[in-house]
Amino acid sequence: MTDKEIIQLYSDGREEEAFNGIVDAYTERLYWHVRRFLCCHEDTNDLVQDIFIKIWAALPTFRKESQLYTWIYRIATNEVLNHLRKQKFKALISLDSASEVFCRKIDEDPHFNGDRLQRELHKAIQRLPEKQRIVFSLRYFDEMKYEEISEITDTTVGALKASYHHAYNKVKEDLLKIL
Amino acid sequence: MEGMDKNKKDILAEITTLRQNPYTVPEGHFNDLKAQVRRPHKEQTVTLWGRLAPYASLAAVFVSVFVAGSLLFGRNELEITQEDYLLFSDNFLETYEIEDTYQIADAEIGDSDIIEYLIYTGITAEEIEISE
Repeated sequence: MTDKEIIQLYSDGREEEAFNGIVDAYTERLYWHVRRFLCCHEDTNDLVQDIFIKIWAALPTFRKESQLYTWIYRIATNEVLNHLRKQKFKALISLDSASEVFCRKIDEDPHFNGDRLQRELHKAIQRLPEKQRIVFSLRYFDEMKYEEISEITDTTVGALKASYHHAYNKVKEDLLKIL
Repeated sequence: MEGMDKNKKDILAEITTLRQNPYTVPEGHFNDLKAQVRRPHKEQTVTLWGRLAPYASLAAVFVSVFVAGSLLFGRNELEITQEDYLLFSDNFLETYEIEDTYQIADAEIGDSDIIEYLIYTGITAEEIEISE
């Protein structure tokens, strides 16, 4: 089902069908989007379920002039940021840094199937500030246009380009150290 | 790769496997996840208190500040106590006793962030209920 069809279903009052369309079209995409930040299969599952609850609750507020795709990713990204902030606070209490916690999760993840360089890449991403992490992930892995990322993060294209440039160079530097 | 100036190497662009997804999921996982995701919005209900709690917290803060202000302005300056100072200080939220980690996380996020997000999601007290 395309986004246009989903929006049409919702406009026709067929909310359940529209929601099911969103579930079918977006579950896997949102799972991978979240997984790159949370680095844990179980946490990702939990957060994805929360995200869909928020999507269902927020559907009446969706403005048809926006793209469904960026609207959904915006909800998901805000939930990821909220989760990361809570994790940051918990890490502070245990005297670890949040990035150390996530790097450990990558090392201990039985579902991580990449090579050494991929492992170091994902750890390097975890060492970025949260917003740079988001921009880097959406641009590098999802190859999203800056205009789409701008709608998702409510940040100007110029700021995003600068953010991506810094993030890209920082990650590249980290990887070159291990080569 | 060999003989190349390491500093000039754009490893992120040249090694295409870096863009590949290194994570895996158990077989059939996404079918299960879709089924789980479809279920909760039907079965769960948010209690009225669950939705009103952030507003109640804000209201409690304003009432406390108002009461403290009334007490302070009605008094001689020399009668200001340590407790009054705490209520009036910028560190009020940090000295306010917090019982569980969920509230700690809320304090870090900030009340205006919570309101903005709740308004953004359109959640009202009349929404369908989601049980915990």
